[in-house]
Amino acid sequence: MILESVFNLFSSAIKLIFAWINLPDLPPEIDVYLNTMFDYIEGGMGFLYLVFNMDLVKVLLPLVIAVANFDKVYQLVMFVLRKIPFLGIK
Amino acid sequence: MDKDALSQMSGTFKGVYFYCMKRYSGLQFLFGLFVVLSMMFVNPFDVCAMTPISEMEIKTLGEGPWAGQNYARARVQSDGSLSQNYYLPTWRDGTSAGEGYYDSFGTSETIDDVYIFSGESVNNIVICSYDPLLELYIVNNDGTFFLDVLDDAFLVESGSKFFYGVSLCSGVGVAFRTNSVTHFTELTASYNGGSYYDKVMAALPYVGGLYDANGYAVKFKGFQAVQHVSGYSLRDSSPTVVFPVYANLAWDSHTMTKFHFVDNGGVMHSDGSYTFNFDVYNSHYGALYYLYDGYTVDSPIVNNVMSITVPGRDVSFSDFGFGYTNGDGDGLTTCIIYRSSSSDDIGTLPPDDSGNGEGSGSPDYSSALAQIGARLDEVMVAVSEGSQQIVNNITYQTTQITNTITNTVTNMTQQITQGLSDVKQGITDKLQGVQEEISGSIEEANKAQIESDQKLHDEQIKADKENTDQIDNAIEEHGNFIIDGLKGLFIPSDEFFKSYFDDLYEYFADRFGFLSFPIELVIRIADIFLTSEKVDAVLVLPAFEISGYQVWEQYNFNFTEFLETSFPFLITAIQTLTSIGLVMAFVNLCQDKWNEVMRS
Repeated sequence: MILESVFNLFSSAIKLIFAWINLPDLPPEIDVYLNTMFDYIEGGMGFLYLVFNMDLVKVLLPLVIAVANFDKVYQLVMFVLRKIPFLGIK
Repeated sequence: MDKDALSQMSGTFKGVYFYCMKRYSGLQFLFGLFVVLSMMFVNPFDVCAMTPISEMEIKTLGEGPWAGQNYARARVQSDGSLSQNYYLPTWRDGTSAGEGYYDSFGTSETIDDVYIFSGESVNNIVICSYDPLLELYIVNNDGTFFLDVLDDAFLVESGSKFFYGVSLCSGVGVAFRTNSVTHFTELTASYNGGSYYDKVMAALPYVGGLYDANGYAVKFKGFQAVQHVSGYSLRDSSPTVVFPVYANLAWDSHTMTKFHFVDNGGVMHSDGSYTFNFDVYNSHYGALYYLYDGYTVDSPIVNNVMSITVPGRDVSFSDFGFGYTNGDGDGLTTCIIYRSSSSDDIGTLPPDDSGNGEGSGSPDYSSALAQIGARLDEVMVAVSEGSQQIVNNITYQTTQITNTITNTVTNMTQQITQGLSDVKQGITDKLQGVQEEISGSIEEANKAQIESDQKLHDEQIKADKENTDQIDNAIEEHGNFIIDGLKGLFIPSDEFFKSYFDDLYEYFADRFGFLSFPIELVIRIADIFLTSEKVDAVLVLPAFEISGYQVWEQYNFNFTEFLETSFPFLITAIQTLTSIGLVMAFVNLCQDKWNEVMRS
C-alpha cells in the first residue's frame, strides 16, 4: 500500500508536469505506409521461419531489448538509490 | 454207565418180563412184543418209497441247426444221447401232423428225458412219450412258472403271455386218469380220453413267443398212477414197467420171452386183492401173464385190467413180474402197468422175510424167543447208552446253567460298573460344561469392557485432534491475515503495475502525439515477432497479360513445403547455424553492454 501510494504520487507528479504538453498525432498517410510495411513483414515471416529458429528468437528478443537498455535501467536504479540517504551511495 | 447200573437195569427188565409172562399168556405177549419191535425198527419210509420218474423238457431253439425252421422236433434220450428221429405222419385223431417228428424207442429203452425244440413259427410242438404224464411245467430261465399243476393235471395260467392256447394231446396214461386233463384252455376233446395210442403226446399249438425266448422250457413228469405201485422205477432199464417190443423181432410168436420184474420195495400182502391196469398201445400183443412164486399165470384180463389175489403169504414185488407175448402182425407194442386200485394195502416184508417159508408149518417159538432175547440185549445196551446220554445231558445242562449264571452276574457287574462310570463321566462333563460356560461369560464381559474402553479412548483422541485442528486453523488464519496485511502494506498487487504502466503509456501517447511513434513502432514490431505463428513461405508468380492476352496465369510456389519434402536436412542445418549466430551475437551484446556500463 505504501509503494502503491508512492507510485501513484509519482504518476500524479508526472501528469501534473506534462499536463501542458499536447502534441498532434502522426499523420494518417504515414500510418498507412507503416501498416503496409507491417504487412510485408508478416508476409515474409514464412522465410524467417525457414531461416531462424523462431522459438529461440522469441526468447532472445526480450532479453536483447533489456540488455540493450541496460545502461539506462542501471542509471535509473542508481539515481533512485542515491536519493536514499541511509544507503550512503554516491 | 457202570456195571452196577446195567445190572440194576437188566434186573428191572427181567422183572417186567416175568410180570408180563405171569399177567398175559405167552403167545399174546410174544405177538404184542413183535408188533412193538416191528414199529420200532422197521423204517417206515421204505414202505412207500417213490422213485422220481422221468422228465421231459421243451426248450426253445433260438439258435442252432433248427433255428428258424418250421417244424417241431422231439428227442428221446435214455443215456444222455439223442436217439433217431422219425417222421410223425398223423395225429392220433387222424389229422395230419404236418412237419412233426418223433422218436421211436428201442426195445430196451426207457424214457429219461424228452427235449422238444421249437424253431421259429412253430405251429405245433409234439411231445411223444411212452409214459403217461404227471406234471407239465413251462418255465423260463429264472424259474418263473407259466404253467401250474392242478390235481395231477395241467393248467395253463390264464392270461399267460407266452403260452396262450396251449393244449395237451393226452395219451393213454392221461386218458385213464379220472381227473384227466381238462384244465387246458383249448384242450381238444379228441385228444383227451381218446382211444389208445402208442404215445403220450402233448401238443402245444403255436407256442407264441417261445421261439424267440431262448431260455424257456417245458417240463413233464410221469403219471402219478405209476407211483401208486410203490417201488416201481421208471429209470431202471431192467426190469421196468415199460415193455416196448417189436413184433417183427425174431421172437417166437405166442411165446413168453421175458418177464419184467419190479426191482425195489413194495409188498403185496397175503390174501390181498390187487388190480393192475395194462395199458397196451396196440393190439399186436398176445396174452398177458404175471409171474408169482415161480409160476407163470395167464391172467384173465378184461378191458386190460388184471385182478390178482395173492394166495398163502406176502409177496415182494421183487418176486413178482409181468410179461406178455406177441400177437400177430408188426408194430410197436408197449405196455404200461400201474396199480389202479389205490384202496389195497401194500406193505413191506421185513428184511429177513423174503417169503421162502410162506404158508408152511407151525410157528417156531424157540427161534422167536432167541430173537427176542437178542433184541432185549440190544434194548439194554440202548437203554444204558440212553442213560449215560441223559447223565451227560444233565451234566452239560448244569454246566450250561452255571456258565449262564456266571456270565449273567459278570455282565450285571460290568453293566453296573459301566453305569457308574457313565454317571461319573456325565457329572464330570456337566461340571466342566458349567465351568466353561462361566469362563466364557467372564471372558465375554471382559472383552465387552475392553471394547467399551477402547471406543471411549478413540472418541477422546478424535475430539482432541479436532480441537487441535481448530486451534491450528485459527492460528494459521490469523498468521496469514497478518502476513497478507504486511505484504499488502508494502508490496503492490500484480494488477497494480499493469494498470499503472498502461495508464502512463496512454497518458504519454495522448500528450506527446507523434513523439510516441518510435515507442509504438518498437512495441508493434516486437509484438509481430512474439505473437507470430509458423506460416509457409509462398512465392507468388503473378499473371502476365499482354493486350488482353494472358501469357500465363498466377502461380504460387510453396517454398517451405518444397524444402521440408525434398531437403529437410538443409532447413535443420540453416536453423542450427543461425541459432548459433544469434546466441553468439547476444553474448557479444551482453559483453559490450557490461563493458559500457561497468567500465565507463
